[in-house]
Amino acid sequence: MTLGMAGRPTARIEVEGLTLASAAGDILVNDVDLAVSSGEIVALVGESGSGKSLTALAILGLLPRGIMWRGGRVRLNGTDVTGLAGPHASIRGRQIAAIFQDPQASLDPRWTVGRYLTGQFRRYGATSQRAARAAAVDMLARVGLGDPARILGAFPHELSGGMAQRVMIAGALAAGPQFLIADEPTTALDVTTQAQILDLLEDLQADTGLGVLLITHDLGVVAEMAQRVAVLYGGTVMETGEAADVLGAPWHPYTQALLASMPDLAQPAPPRPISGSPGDRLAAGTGCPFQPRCRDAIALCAQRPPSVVVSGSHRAACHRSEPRLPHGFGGDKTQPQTSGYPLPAAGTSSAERRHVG
Amino acid sequence: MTTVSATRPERMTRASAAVRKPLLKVEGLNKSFGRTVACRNIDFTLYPGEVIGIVGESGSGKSTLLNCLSGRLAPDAGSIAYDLRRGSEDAPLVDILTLSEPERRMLMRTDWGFVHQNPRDGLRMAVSAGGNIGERPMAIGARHYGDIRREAEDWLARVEIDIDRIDDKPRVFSGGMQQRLQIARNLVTRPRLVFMDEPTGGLDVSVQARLLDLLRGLVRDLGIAAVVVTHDLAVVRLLADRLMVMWRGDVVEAGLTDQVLDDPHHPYTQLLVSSVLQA
Ligand SMILES: Nc1ncnc2c1ncn2[C@@H]1O[C@H](COP(=O)(O)OP(=O)(O)OP(=O)(O)O)[C@@H](O)[C@H]1O
Ligand SMILES: Nc1ncnc2c1ncn2[C@@H]1O[C@H](COP(=O)(O)OP(=O)(O)OP(=O)(O)O)[C@@H](O)[C@H]1O
Ligand SMILES: Nc1ncnc2c1ncn2[C@@H]1O[C@H](COP(=O)(O)OP(=O)(O)OP(=O)(O)O)[C@@H](O)[C@H]1O
Ligand code: SF4
Ligand code: SF4
Ligand SMILES: [Mg+2]
Ligand SMILES: [Mg+2]
Ligand SMILES: [Mg+2]
Repeated sequence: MTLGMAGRPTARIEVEGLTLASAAGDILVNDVDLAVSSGEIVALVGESGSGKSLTALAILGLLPRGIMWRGGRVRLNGTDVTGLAGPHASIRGRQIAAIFQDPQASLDPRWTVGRYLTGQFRRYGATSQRAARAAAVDMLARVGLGDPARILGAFPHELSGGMAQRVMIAGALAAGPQFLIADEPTTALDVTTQAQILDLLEDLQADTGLGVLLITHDLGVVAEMAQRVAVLYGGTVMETGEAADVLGAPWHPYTQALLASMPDLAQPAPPRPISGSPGDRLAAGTGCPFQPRCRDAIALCAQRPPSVVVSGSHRAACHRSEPRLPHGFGGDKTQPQTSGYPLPAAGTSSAERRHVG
Repeated sequence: MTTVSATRPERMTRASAAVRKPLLKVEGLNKSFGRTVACRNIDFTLYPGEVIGIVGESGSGKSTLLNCLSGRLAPDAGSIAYDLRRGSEDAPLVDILTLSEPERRMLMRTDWGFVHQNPRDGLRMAVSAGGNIGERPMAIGARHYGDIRREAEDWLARVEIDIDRIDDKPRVFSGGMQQRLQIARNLVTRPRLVFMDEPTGGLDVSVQARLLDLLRGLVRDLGIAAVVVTHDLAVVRLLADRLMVMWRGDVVEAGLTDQVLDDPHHPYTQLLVSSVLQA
């Protein structure tokens, strides 16, 4: 366990060399390193099917049947919690809460929201049924669900998609977790409701030191929320670093292409998708997974690219990083061709940024 | 706020819409659940080949409206008239609420598609990806295994799922792959009207961009009409000719997409537009 600035131990999830395979032997996640410290929001982004959800499930010890653990460790506050079940499962359950990609499937259709939420609060410390109910009402308000009486009495099928998603978020936060792994937590939400949820996560981050691993396809959300980002492609980390560096000055061809494919409300042109399709990738371990689609590919790319320091903690796994490096060293960073994602100006509060009250 | 210019260069002019026969005409649609009014007095008309977008706050009644329109949920009041093209071209529209259950089911399988908010609701999880796509063609009479298989491969490619995965069950697909499979399963029979509830939710931007291209192409080339619920205004901009904004069960604003987004009147629409442009 490392010591934080105040001399307090800093809680930390560390993933090292995570490698997962399908029953047929295809490598789905290849040697992924990832860390989340308390008080930090780390975003995991990347192509559909790139292994984001599997990485999250591996950390939680909840891998589906048919997924094989091929290598790597998961540590929670220094303790090895690698594996599917065992004595660490309960520690992990209390300290790491999770919001899954599919909310309705995670709620038991036979239980009312009230029974589910009060159950969660009782399990994690509420001393009476009344206290649990009060806590549930309070949490529902924080996720933007007014009319708690109706919501608590409702069954999952009586909720709208976005309501179910927020009930699940409320349930996950009941444990007062150190960490939250949130897989697409706001996909079913309209932007104003989404802003409220993101504000709640930011508040918890500031007030309780919650650490968040945020899986999302919304790069706008990443730019607003995350301190650090890891970009996955074909189960491999392509680029990682401070969010401002990765999004503002993307180094890796895949990250550049990803940013270029974003639909832009203020631009009179449809978004430009990356050429090729996600299926076009080299089998893990035989070279750079992005090679079949990469405009910058060279012969060397048939070999696995090294992870190269761009600057500070900003790293990219690309053969082309090396020749470009000298421009980036010695202080100021080389400007890549792509203009990065417009980051919010430093110092504006999230409420100002999003214009919602 | 800076005005945002039109974004669909190839958009068709709909000047002839006024004289065309509507595909779907909704009048006075109401639906409540106990004290909760999910849809209040909804009226609108959809023309062939037209795309209407519906945006609105979480819980504002968007999915409920789609469920009523597609005959999956009975409204408390109102009529939903659809051009069944029974008999002659200018046969009158028929209220789908008066159809028998088998008639409605046939309509769902042939003329209509429904892309659910949650892919699990729209897929057969125990059937292979190829089987999911082949089901609709088979339901309307396709029998040749090779043809069905080729069609399934073609659609997997269109939604960017590796053809090697054709025999996998959707259970082993990632969230975004399930969503794309659901879209392929619905569009394979080229329905005349598709209802889509958050079709691009949970998809990464690159795949989303291509899917939007695909949907735009289908709308343009095959004249598919669609009602699309989404919270993503960029999707609305690219896909929808007209836009309806829902708020607590009411349609509070409706009009041409660009007009509504560039000059929003209702406070909720203003909030929506400003929060996106700020992000
Ligand atoms: N239970 C499973 N059995 C076999 N393969 C699986 C299983 N779950 C996922 N996979 C495969 O592993 C790969 C990575 O899936 P994962 O769900 O982690 O993707 P993802 O990055 O979360 O994508 P999305 O953004 O679409 O949710 C995919 O190719 C998927 O088909
Ligand atoms: N298949 C790809 N492989 C690698 N990089 C890509 C790919 N597709 C797009 N990109 C990246 O996305 C960025 C934008 O792509 P685009 O096709 O618009 O090129 P461009 O020359 O920058 O065009 P323009 O000058 O019109 O902006 C490029 O800088 C490129 O690095
Ligand atoms: N079967 C049902 N029983 C009771 N109430 C319901 C039922 N279905 C929907 N509702 C309620 O009707 C309202 C509208 O729900 P609907 O699912 O249409 O919202 P939505 O606009 O699709 O929201 P979201 O964007 O979150 O999916 C909500 O208050 C919801 O709780
Ligand atoms: S390693 Fe080669 S193929 Fe991979 S992203 Fe870099 S240049 Fe492209
Ligand atoms: S000089 Fe470097 S970047 Fe250029 S082709 Fe040779 S290896 Fe590739
Ligand atoms: Mg996923
Ligand atoms: Mg460019
Ligand atoms: Mg809905």
